[in-house]
Amino acid sequence: MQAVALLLGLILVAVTVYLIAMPLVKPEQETQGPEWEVEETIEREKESIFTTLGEIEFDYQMNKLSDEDYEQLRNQYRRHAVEVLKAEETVPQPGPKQGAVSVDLEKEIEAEIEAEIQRLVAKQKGKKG
Amino acid sequence: MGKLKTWTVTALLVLSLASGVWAQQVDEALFKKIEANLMCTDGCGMYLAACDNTTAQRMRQQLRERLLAGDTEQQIYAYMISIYGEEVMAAPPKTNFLNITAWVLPFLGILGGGMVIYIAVDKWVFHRQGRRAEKPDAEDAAELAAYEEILNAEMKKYF
Amino acid sequence: MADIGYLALVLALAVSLYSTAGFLLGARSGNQRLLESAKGGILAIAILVNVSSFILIYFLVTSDFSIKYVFQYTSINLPTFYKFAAFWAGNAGSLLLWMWILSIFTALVAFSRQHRDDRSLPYVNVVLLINSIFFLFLLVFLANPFERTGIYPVPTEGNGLNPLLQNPGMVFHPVTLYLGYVGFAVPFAFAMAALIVRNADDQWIKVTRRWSVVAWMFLTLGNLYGGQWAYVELGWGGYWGWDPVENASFIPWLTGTAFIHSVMIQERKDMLKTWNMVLIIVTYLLTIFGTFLVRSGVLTSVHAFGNSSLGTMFLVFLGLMTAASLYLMLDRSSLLREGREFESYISRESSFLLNNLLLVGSAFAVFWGTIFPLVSEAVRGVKVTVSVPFFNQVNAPILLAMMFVMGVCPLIAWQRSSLKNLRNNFLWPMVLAVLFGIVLYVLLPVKRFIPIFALAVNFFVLVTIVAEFVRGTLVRRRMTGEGIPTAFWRLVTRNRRRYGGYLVHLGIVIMAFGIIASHAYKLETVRTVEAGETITIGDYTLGFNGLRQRPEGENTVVYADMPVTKNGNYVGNVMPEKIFYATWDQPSTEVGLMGGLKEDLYVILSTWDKEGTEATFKVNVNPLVSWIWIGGYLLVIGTIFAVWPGRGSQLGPKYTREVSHHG
Repeated sequence: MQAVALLLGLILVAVTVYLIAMPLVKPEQETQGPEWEVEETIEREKESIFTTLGEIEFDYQMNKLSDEDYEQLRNQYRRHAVEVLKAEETVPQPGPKQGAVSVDLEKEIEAEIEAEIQRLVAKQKGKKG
Repeated sequence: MGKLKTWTVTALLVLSLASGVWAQQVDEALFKKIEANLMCTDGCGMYLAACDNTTAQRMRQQLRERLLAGDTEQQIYAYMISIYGEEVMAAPPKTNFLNITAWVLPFLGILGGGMVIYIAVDKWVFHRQGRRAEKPDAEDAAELAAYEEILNAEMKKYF
Repeated sequence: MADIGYLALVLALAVSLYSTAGFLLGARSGNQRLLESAKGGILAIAILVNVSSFILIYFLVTSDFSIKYVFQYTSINLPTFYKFAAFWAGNAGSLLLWMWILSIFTALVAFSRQHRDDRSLPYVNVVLLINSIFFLFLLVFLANPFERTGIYPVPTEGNGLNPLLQNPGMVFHPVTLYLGYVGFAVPFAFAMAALIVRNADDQWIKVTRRWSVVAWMFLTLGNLYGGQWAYVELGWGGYWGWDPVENASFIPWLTGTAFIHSVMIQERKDMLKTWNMVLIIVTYLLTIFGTFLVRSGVLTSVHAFGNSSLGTMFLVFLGLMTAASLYLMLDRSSLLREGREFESYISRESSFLLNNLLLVGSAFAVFWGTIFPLVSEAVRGVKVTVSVPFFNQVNAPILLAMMFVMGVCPLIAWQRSSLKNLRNNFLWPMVLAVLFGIVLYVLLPVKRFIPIFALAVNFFVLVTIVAEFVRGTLVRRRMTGEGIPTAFWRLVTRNRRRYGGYLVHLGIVIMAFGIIASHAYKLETVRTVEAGETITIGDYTLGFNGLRQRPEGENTVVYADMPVTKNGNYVGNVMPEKIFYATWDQPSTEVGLMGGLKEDLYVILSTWDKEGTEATFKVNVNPLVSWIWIGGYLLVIGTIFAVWPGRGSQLGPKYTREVSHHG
């Protein structure tokens, strides 16, 4: 019994030390950042927007959105959806240098959306003032 | 092997119950109502109606006696408090300021919280007015119309 | 062997300290190796605590009475199942159980692939490790489960397990409760970590959604098991006594419920950021506070607390965690600036606010009532009791209002609700509920307004939930042209999160029916009968033919075998028992229960005389009690349905007028 206990104790200490010390001496692994493929990015964007559109439609039909809100949200997300569809059309065929393209494209979409916001804001300001 | 012989909390009590008090009727509904407002007092921390130990039995006995003596509900509570202290009541009696706070504070809290929410919402709603977005212009509308079919088809795919 | 168990705990404490330091330093300096090493430490802690727990189980099951804990809480003839359950019969074991769960949860979080790229993860681990340090500290220095009795020769028999705890309900109650308690530590840790790394978005809510909901489910189950245990084992005819110990687990349930609802507003609208932080902090603190209440003995007697260093340590820890989390929140308050998107007073958003107000209000009411005796003693020097009547009277209106909001909230429009929306969605449920109330009034023998009103409100909620499923199916059919079965199937499976939530609501409604009916319409009688006599209650007649006695192991069971007729038809026997233990002074009561969907016949053998030919019984007819348990099962099914990974369990989209970016 004593021997078993002693052995177990040793194993416990050994495992603990191993788990803590091992990463300290092991050569550092290269950490991989998340790399989305270009289609994947757009696909996610698309899925999200169209899901939202469906949701808006559904909520409206379920009487959970007022007419005005529905119109407004629907137009807003449709416009958004059109942008994504356009972006999808311009995606080049998958090639070797995807990583770089993906970043660019993401930026491009962001910029486009940013411009859209600016435009809307400007328009509203104009109307208000 | 004597387990079956008797298991009474106090044999005497049951005797007195059986012979005297039990025979006469008390208003059972009132009895239950009063019982439901009292605690067992021997430190078991149980609600009288839920407790079945010696003390609880004796207290029920006392209750019945007072009822038979013609005491009103309030008189019985006062009597119980005079013997066992305020602790005997299962809820703080509303006889002094602090105890009344016990009852009122939760509702005051909700009222206060409600006020805070109302004021906040009021501010937010006010803030939003005048920021309502515009209808899309004609150019936009035309573009959307062009994509109408595709949009609907795509939407179905994800729905 | 006991030394190994203790050694494992000491080692785990040391590693916890190391890993905490490792994560802090590693995150600050960006030292990947140090972070990995600290992460290895988390795995080591999990292994150590597991080993320690299994050693305790081994001692319990093999009845090694040289260990004090085993000696105190078990006996030789205890069934193995209960020897195992004695694990959490006392303080030391309960704390070890907490630590056991915490160590596993921490490892799950640290090694989850989902969080691999989360830069706040080191801090999440730190927060969880701080909890580990606290509990391990208690286990090592104040409540060592492996302490020896010091009695030689080793005793051959232990004190035995309190018979009241020898019930399946009491076996599952602590485990589920702790799974819930510890589960809420995870969203708390993510929330704190988000503040530490100055993450202002709702990332912490998204990644901990499952944790919160599942923790909530376990907390609910824990409360339910507690109720079930009280119902069959304590023998007073009820399932909830508003005991401080019960309150201790009910309060975090209320705030936790508020939390899992209000985060939806942040997910959808970027609002209530501060409020959600407050809720998760409060819920977490309440889980610790609940454990403190139960484990320190402060409630049974103020004096017991004076002698308990365990209680003091809990208070210190609570104080530290409160101060730290409040400091973080105030310091980073600029991060929590609200997106302001309120369109009107009556909308989905505002109904969420109302739901939160009521839940937190109810939590406050219960908390206030629980601590009021202490307040009264401190202020007036007079002891008062706060028990069932207080809690029922104060909470009933609040929780009923809560039920009503539960019916309204899912149906009301986002952003702005119009009269048309209200009429379309609520006219029929309202009409049906009123009709239901009228029918009840006509049919029920007891014509009291309040319970009928409560049942009608409940029915309203029921109709709205059913309407959600029906209308959802119809709308989907209209939009997609699918057949009704397909439309229904896709509706619920593609929006599992939402419809699982409705199932949970349905479970709550069914429970509420049971709670209201069993409170308002129970029948109760106490009768002393001689052999040959009968007891009549409601539709039931029970025959009494004298008491019998049988040995059960070393215990003696006195029981009555009572044939029951309902409206003249024989429906079976009930067997109320009193069990006398060899190793325990007080006998325990075993309720004679004949359960059904409509009502439970509930018989307690109270006292007897004359060789068992005369006995006193307490007989109850408790309507719809089984609905409470059925509702509970439905709630579990709904939760699992909602959070099971895969399509449909994700979050709904953000509805916002700003052009939002998804991905």
